[in-house]
Formats: sequence, structure tokens, C-alpha cells
Amino acid sequence: MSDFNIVAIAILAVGMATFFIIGWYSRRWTKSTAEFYVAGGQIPWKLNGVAMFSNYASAASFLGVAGAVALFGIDNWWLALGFFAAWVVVVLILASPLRRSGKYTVADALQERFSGPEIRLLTIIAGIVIGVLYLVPQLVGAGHLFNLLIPGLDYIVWVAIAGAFTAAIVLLGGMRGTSYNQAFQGIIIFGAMVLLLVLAVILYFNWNPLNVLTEADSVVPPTVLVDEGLADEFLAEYPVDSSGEDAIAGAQSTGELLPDAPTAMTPGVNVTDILNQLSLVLGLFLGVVGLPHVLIRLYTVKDAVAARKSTELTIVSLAIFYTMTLFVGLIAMMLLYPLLVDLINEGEMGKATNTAVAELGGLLGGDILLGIVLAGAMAAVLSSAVGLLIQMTTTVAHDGYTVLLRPESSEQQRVLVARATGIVLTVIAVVLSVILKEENVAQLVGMTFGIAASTFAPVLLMTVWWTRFTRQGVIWTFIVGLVVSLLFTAARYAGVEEIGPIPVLVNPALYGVPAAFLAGVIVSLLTRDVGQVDHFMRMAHDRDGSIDGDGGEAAAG
Amino acid sequence: MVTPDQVEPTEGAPPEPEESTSADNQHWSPFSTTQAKTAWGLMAIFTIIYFSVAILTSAEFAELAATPVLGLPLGFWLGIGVIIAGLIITRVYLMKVEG
Repeated sequence: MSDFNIVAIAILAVGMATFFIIGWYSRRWTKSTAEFYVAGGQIPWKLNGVAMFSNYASAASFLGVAGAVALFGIDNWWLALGFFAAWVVVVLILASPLRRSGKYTVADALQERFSGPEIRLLTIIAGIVIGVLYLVPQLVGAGHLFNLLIPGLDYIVWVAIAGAFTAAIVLLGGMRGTSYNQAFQGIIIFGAMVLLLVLAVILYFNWNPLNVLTEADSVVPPTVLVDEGLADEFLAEYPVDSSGEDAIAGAQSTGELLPDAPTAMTPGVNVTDILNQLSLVLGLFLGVVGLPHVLIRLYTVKDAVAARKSTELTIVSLAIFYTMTLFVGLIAMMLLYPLLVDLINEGEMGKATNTAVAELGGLLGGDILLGIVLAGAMAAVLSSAVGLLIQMTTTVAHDGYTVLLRPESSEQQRVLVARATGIVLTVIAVVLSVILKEENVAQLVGMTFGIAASTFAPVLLMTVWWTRFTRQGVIWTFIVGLVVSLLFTAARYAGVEEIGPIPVLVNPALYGVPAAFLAGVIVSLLTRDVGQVDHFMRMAHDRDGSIDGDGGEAAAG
Repeated sequence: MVTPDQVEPTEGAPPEPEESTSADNQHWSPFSTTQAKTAWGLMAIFTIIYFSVAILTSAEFAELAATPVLGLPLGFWLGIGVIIAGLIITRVYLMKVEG
């Protein structure tokens, strides 16, 4: 696939041109801040549900989960299970109260109860940290994909192009253009995954998807084979250009080569111990509750009922999608086994894990399917990237510039600040994407989930549900959660194994989440200012049943 | 935390600007609504399912998770179970709150 591939490039170009046209067409709706930030709250719930799916099913889901399964086996499916489960948490305990109590951003919801600049400032800082760290894996994925298609240019050039393109879509189309783009991209992402699965099952697994699972149960993951020092021996018999049936035969021979090794379907192999497992799943479980770029979509529909319906549509789409990622990951492992072994053996883990799905597309359907898969992958990258960028620009322009710095500013100035913010943050994300080039995009996103779970999640949950939560409690929850989670994240990427007596885990959540909750509870119990708690709780929980008509039983409370 | 009957907001009335912001006063608890009880009850069930499966598929229980069930490791079925449980719980919650 290293040759210049005109058909695939043409398909990808058509997809990207369409995204750009949607953004361009939507620019007339971005003159007011309400339109730019949340599309005036007028996005239909079905469209919003698809857009939320697309916003969420990012490069991490489309490329990262399947790629991680292809390299490590079923253990890495936990990323997908956690990504899915987080949405159930959102719909049960956050979607409705947050939708009822906010206007444009998560900070607005907090301000309904706790007014004052310090809390808004902390939400801006935490929102930017999480947003930029989440944007990085999207650009890493885009860089690898473009590089796969046109290898002549450096990875850094492609990352810069992807960043610039993302910024252009957001700055032109605002939230309405972003919503239409995300909905369109969601259809491409879902369709590409279905196409990969169906074609592979028909062509190589005798029309029966269960054969994928049973055959994978006799295959040793390529990472294990390389760790055992058998890569050269394997590649001598199955050269790197072996694929399809040959590759499947090679993959299945690994079960005989290493009879005592775990297979691709063996659970509990890649997670070293229960602490690491718990930290990862906790971060994923609470992550979405703390992701402002996802939560902001709850404000683009007219009321809490529409927000809940959107969320259910997203959950159903994600359930199907993440089940497919397991199958597609295992298929990629078997059909691309020699290639994956070669890349891992050469130390190119980032390329192996982040391009496995695209390579699979090229194998199954030639240039046309490669183009479609790349368009799907690029849609996944862009849909999340634009969602992140619009959330961050809205946070800075609305919470920072408009509310904190220049309340008297004009609509035009606010939109201008939003656009300038988009450019600056894109540049920062591009630089970080170059530094973190070799990381698996799903793992990077998982890490960001851990930070979100340690900051926004405890703050929002306690604000919405705990009447005794105080202003000082909010501040210290944010600070402690952010410091602890960033400390352990930095330690992990610096290769530090322990901080004092505390081991550094795969995800910071196991330390960040309890520390943040504990700080919030202790400080709240020591202080008295609970904010406009009665007003807020009535609004958030629709106690009067008068806000969106779904609180009849609430009035009984 | 206080019970709702300790504070009596006026039905449909706009927020009172002079309402207390002190923890020394009693405030209405959102946990007293049927909707909240349903949400947190289902949340508890889903949390138990999710973390039980996470523990059962960790390294410590790898042998148990590898036990074949219908030709595939138990760990796979547990993962599918998390997805199905999530879908059912979401639907039950929405049916309850939407009457």
C-alpha cells in the first residue's frame, strides 16, 4: 500500500471536500454566539444522536480499539466496553439535570449554583487540558493515515494539514455546521465498519461471524510472538507480504508454535494486575461524565427529553459499533498477521496499531474500500476533532472572554475570539501530536478519560446531586483531581514506575477520582457556602415538573 | 442532606433571589424524587455488573475468564453481557422516566 494510490486518494478527497462544503454552507448561521456555540438549541434529536455517536466514535474507536485488539487480543476490547458503559452513566445520572441547568457550556451549569470567577476559570483550565489531550490522538491517527496513503511527505506535515482542516471546518460552520458534519461523518464511520466486517466474513470466514471468534481462539497475538523472539522465524515462513488465506494459516500456526501461550481470545493477559485493570475501567466509566466536548451536545437540542432521546440513540449505535470493533480487530489480526509482526518487530507500534484497520480495508476491497475506510477514519478523526475544537473555543470565548474579561464585547468580537482560540489550540495540539507519535490512539484517549473522570466528573456529579457541596469544595475538587491525574499521567509517559510508594498505573483514574471526591467532601464539610442550591436543584431536577414536562413524578418528591 | 418536606418550594414559582446559600439551612434533596431513585437504583445495578466483569477478566481471574462456555471463553460472554445490560438498563430507565 505504499504506492501512490489515486483511487483511494480521490475517494478520501471527495469525503473531505464534502465536510468542507458543509462547513462553508453553514457559515451564515455563525454570526450570533448562540448559533456558533450550540446551534441555537435547535438541532433535531435524531440528528444530534448521530452527531453524538460520531463525536464520540473518534479515531480511538474506529482505529485505536480495533488496532489494539489486532495487536493484543480481546483484553483491549475493554477500551470499547468502557467507552460504551460511560454513556449509560451519562444517561442515568447526568444528561437531564445538566441539560436543564446549563445554557451553552458545562461552566454555565456550575454557575447556576456557584457564581464567581474562580470556578469558571477552573472549568476553562480543566476543559482546555482535557480538550487538547483528547485532540492529540485524533491528529496522531490522521497523521498515520495520511502517511499510509501518501508516504512521500513527513508525518508532521500530515498532522499539520489535518489540524488546519479541522480548524477550518469549525471556524466556518460553528456548532450547526459541526453538527451536520458530525452526523454525515457518523454515517460514514458506521457504514465503513459494517462494510469491513461483512466483506471479511463473506470472503474469509464462510459467511459466519462466529468463525472469527473460534479461529482467533487458536491464534497467539502478534505482540506475544514478537516478545517470545520468534518474529524472524515466523517471517521466514510467512513473509511480510503474505496476507489473506496465507496470513490466516500463518496466524493459526502460532498456536502450535507457542502451545502454552495465551490466544487472542484469552482474557487477563495484557492487564498486568487488578489495580491497573480497575484504574482503566474506572477512568473509562466516569470519563464521559467529565468530557465537556461530549456534554456540550446536550445543549444543542431543545430540552431534556430530546437530550435523553439523543443519548439513547447514541448508546444503541455505540453498542453495535463497539461489538463490531472486536470482530474487525480480530479479523485484522489474522488477515494481516505477518505485516503486524514485521511492524512490531521493527519497533513501529504506532503505525501497526493505528493503521491496521486501513490496511484491512485495502486488503478486502482494494483501492475503493481503502478509500472508503480512509474516508471513514478521517471522518472519525475530524468529527471528534471538530467537536473538541468547538467546545474549547466556546469555553474560552464564552466563559473566559465574554463572562470574565469583556462582558460588554460585541457578538462579532466574541466570535472572532472563538476563531482565534481555535487556531492557537490547534497549533498546540499539532506539536503534542508529533511528540506522541508512537502511542496507540485509544490508549491516549483512555488516559484523557482518566483526567476527565478526576476533574469534571466529581465536580458535576456532586454539584448536581449533593446539596451540601460547597463553593470551596468545587475549587478543591478541581485542583486536587487535576494535579493528581496530571502527575500520574506525566509519570507514566516519562517511564516512572513509582511515585514514592505508589505505583504508576496505566490510567490515572484510580488515584485521581478518589482524591478529587475526597477533597470535595472534606472541604465541603468544613465550609458553609452551598450556593443557590434550592434554585439549582429545582431547575436541574425539574422538581416542579414545569420545565420539560417529564417531571410529573418529580413533583411528588 | 434533608428531606423534601423540610423545605417547601412554591409550585412553578421562579427562583427566590434571597434564598439561603448557607449549609446551616435545610435544603431540598434531589434524591427524594422517583426519577432519582430509579436512576440511582439502575446505576447501582450497572456499576456492580460492570466492575464485577472488569475484575473477573483481570489477570487474577484469567483462568476463570478463560473457561470455555459455548465454545468461547467466559470473558467474551461477560463483555457481551456488559453491552446487553447497558442497553436494557437504558431502556428501562427511559420507560420509567417517560411514563
